[in-house]
Parts: sequence; structure tokens; C-alpha cells
Amino acid sequence: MGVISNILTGFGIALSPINLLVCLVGTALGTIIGVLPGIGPMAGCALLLPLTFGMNPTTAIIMMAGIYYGAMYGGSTTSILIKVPGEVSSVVTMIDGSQMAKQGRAGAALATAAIGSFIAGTVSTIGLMCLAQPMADLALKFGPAEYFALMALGLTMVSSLAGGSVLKAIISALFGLILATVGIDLQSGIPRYAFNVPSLLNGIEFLILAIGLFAVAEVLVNAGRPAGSERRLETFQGKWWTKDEKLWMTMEEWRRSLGPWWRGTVLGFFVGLLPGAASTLASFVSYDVEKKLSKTPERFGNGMIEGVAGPEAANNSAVGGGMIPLLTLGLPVSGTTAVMLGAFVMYGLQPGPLLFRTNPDFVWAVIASMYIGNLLLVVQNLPLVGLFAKILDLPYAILFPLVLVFCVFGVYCMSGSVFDLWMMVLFGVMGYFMQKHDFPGVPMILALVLGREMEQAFRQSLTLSNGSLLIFVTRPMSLLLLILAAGSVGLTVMGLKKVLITDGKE
Amino acid sequence: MADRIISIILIVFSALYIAATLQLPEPVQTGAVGPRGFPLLLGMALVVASLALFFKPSRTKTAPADAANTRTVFLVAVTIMGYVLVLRFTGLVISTFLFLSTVLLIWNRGKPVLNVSIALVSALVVYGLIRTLQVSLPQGLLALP
Repeated sequence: MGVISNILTGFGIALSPINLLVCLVGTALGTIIGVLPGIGPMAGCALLLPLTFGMNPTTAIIMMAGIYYGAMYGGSTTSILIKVPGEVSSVVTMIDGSQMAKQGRAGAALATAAIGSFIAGTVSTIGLMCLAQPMADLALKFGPAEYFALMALGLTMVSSLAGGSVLKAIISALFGLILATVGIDLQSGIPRYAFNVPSLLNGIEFLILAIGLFAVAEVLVNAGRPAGSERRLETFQGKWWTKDEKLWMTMEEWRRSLGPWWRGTVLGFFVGLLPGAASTLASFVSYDVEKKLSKTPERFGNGMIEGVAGPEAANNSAVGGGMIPLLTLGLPVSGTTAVMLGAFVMYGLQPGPLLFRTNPDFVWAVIASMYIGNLLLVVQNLPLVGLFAKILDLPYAILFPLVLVFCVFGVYCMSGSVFDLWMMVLFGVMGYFMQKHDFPGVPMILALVLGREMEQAFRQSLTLSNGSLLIFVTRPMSLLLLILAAGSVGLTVMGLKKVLITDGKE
Repeated sequence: MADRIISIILIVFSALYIAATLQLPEPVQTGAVGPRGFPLLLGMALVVASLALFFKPSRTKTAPADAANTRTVFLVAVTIMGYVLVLRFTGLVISTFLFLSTVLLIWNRGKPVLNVSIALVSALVVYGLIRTLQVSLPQGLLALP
């Protein structure tokens, strides 16, 4: 019973005092970050990553996973309470959740979201646990051509599912790949585009791009919003909940939530496996499904609890699903998993099938900590959610400058280089313009993280084939992946896929 | 339209990138593809994509920029750059204080006492964090953390 013994070992490590503490801190911080408007799980992970320096890799990644989950919970909270989605995947929750709040059922909405998220997170982690080893074994059969094709698939799917213009997403991805070529070329030792700047010789650090493009840019975008336009708590009578409303869900609400919870979990898990899809798509699809399955679809949008339970389960389940390609193939499927991949690499761990062989303790400890994280979040969130949301009482004018200080602090602590700070600012300005002109940022960060690997895979493949490009199409697996990649772009361009509006923050 | 301008900028960028790539030395034997190969592919792909953007700019109208708000963004951006500049001289703690005071002045007008207190408290928190986390930061020219 390999899986069981592995996971027990994992729990052994994850339950050590320091790891538990870190998980707790991570989930709490993540929730706070998730509550902040605009700063989603990805920027949150990027911002908090410098805090993990000096920790051993396992502990650091446990904290990051905690932050990721926490940010998802935090985002749901703001969606329900103030009708502002904390991050993109909570947009759907906002539709019915805020209506429920208006009707005095804020407590129930929050509870169904929290419980649904917990169930989903736990179940999807079980799925991860069971599928991880077999997938890793499968991936060991991949050669460089397959890896290249797989990464190309990842990038094209992220581009085509990003919502908005596929062309702009592709341009974004190409730019990210170009950024990845800066630095010393590993195969020939030649410095590329470094212009004798020491910081650039090691390549552009993904964290700087992530913090600049998402956090700093967010600060700038908000600077442009007229003062006072931020939302205030829209709960009825201006209080959290009135004294005589029940905080919890009624029996009826429990009953109605069960189906959506399970459906959302399964749906979200599979959607989360797909690159580019991630939590946002999962929650939209779940909402759609619930509406179609409901006996009263016309009441959706007016506070149907199914419209909160399903999507919330789905978006958390997608997190677990998304960890699978990351851990087993080294393929990130979303902005946040890209940041986590970068974090792994920073700690000298190469995610992928080999990781299961060389560092099994690490992998299973991370998986175990995901369970623990889920549990901690439910425990924290139900009573504390009000406290976290209080942060939103701070006017943006104070909040965002503080966020910026945090960015500078983080980057400066990490690299000690003023040049890196300038790059962060540059990326921030670039990110501002990108947001204004609908260029999504997620493909860029994904491309930066994958770029080196992609180039290596490309060059190795061509070396194997003595320069013939046919290698990519003569090997069956590689051909299949490339067809899927072309297909995903093609279908979207032809408008056959439902194009979602995300703002590229995930 | 804005998209067209952006595509032109991108084309210029790609041209520069390709030019820089062509200046890279091509060592004798590094497998089938040398250090130039992938970048050249990328550069060309970007040119193609940018041309596509030029000929098919987005229809959606980006909301007309409000002059006053854009000015705020510009000022905040400049302040951030100032922050980084000053950082070298006075170290993180003091520059944080200066930055926050300035940016809050721009963004959170009319509450000078509140703003300065926030700036002060934050700078102190930063100092505290530096001490507790024992982060080693380069010293400013005035030998402050």
C-alpha cells in the first residue's frame, strides 16, 4: 500500500511543530492577501515568498501552499460581504453570494463557501494523492520532444483560455519567453542580453516579474481610481449580521448545498488539471452546471445557495487538480502554480517525475500539508472571517501604498540589488499599461518560468534528431500534444469555446 | 489606435532583440541549435504576432482616461521611482518614511497628521522587521539600515 504509507510519512513531517506553525501563518496571511482587492493568490504568493527564505524547502513550500489556499478563501469572503471579488475566481460567488448577504443570509453564504471549499480541497487532495504516483511514472517516459510539446500546450492553453484577445495573450507569452532568454546560456556558457549587468547574468528572476507585473501594477491601477470609489460593506443595516439571524445554515440549506458541493468538487478537479483553466473556469462551469440542473434556474442571481456552494467547491478543487501537473510533470497550469514552480526551482527542487524518486518525503509532506491547510482554514475562517474583512475598511489610499512598501521590502530583502528594484518598477509600469490595454499577464509569467526548460527541451530534441524538426511530429505523444495545442488556439479563435472574461490575475 | 502603436513598439523591440541575437558568438559545437537559435525563432514569432496585431487591432474601446486620475498615477509612479533612488542613500527605513509621506500626500490628501503617523509607524515596523528577521541589507551611503 505504497500510497498510504507515503502519505503517513508525509503527515509525520507535516505535523511537526514548525511546519504546523508555518501552515497556520501561511493560511492566515493568505486569507488576508485574498481579502485585499486585486491582489490575488498569485501576487500573494509572490509577495510572501521572500518571507520563506532561510526556511528549509519543505517548510517553505508548505507555507506557500497555505497561502494559496488561504487566498482563495479570502477572495470568497470579500465577494460575499462587499460584492467585490477578492480575486477573479470569486467573481461567480459574488453573483448569488452577495444577494444572499443582502437577504440576511451572509452567514450562511460564508458557511457554505467555507465548508464547500473544505470538502473540495480535501477530496481533490485525495485525488492528487492517488493520481500523483501513476502520473509521475507515466511522465518518466517523456523525452525532450514530449516535454517541449507539453510546455507549448501549456502556454497555448493559458493563452487561449485567458479570456479576451488570444493574440494579445500569445504576444504576452512570447515576450515572457524572450525575457527567459536573458542570462547565461547554459549549453554554451555565453552571456545573452546581459549588457554586463550582474543581476541580469543570472536571468530575470520570476519573482520580480510577478511582483512588478501584478502587485506594483495593481497599486498604479488603483492610484487611477477616483477616491471613494471603493466599496464599503454592503451588508444589511451596515452590520455583519443582525442579532437574530442565524449565523449558520438551516437544514434546508445544508441539504441544498450537498449536491453542488460534490458536483463542484469533481468538476473543479478535472478542470484544474487543464493548463490555463484553473479555478476561474472551474467556478464558472460549476455555476453553469448548477443553474442547468436546478428546478428553478430563473432564481439564480437572486441568492440561490447552490450558486455559491458549487462554484466555491469547484474553485478550491481546481487548486488540488492544478497541483498534479505541477508536481508530477513540472508543468504549471496557472499563474499561481507558476510562482510555486519558481519557488521550487529556487530551492533547488525540480518538480517532475524525478521529484517523486529523489525527494519523496518532500512531495508527500506537501500533500499532507494541503489537508492540514484545508482544515486550518475552515477553523480559522468561520469565526475570524469578520476580522479579516475589516481590513477592507482601510481606504485604498492607505492600503496600496503599504502594499508597495511590502513589495519593495520583499524584493530588496531577496536580492539586495537596487537594479532589481528598478526592474520591478519597470515591470510595474509595464503591467499598468498591459492592464489598460488588455494584455494578460499570466501567460508572460508562465512563459518566463517555463522558458529555460522549453529552450533546453527544444535544443535537446533537435540534437537527438540531428537538426530535423520532424522529431516533434514523428513521435506520437509529442504530435498529440502539439495537435491539442494548435487545437486549443484554433477553437478559441473560431469562437467555439466559451471565452471568459478574467482579468488575468490568477 | 492604441493597439497599433503598441504593435509598432513591439516590432521595434523585436528588431532590436534580433539584432542583439545576431551579435552573439556562435560557438563551434553545441549540438544542433546554438545560443542564437531559439531567440531568433522567438524574435521572428513576435514580429509576426505584432504585425497581426497591427492589422487587427481590438475593437473594444478602452475607457477614456480621466486626466486627473492619470496624473495621480503618474505622480505615484514617479514617487515610487524616487523611493528606489533615495533608497541607495538613506537606506530602507528612512526612504520608506519619505516615500509613504509623499505618496499619502498625493493619494490621501487632506489628512497630514494621519499620513505622517502611518509613514512613521510603517518605517518603524520595517526597521523592526529588519532586526527580527536579521535580514542583511546593504547599508545606505549614510550607513543606515
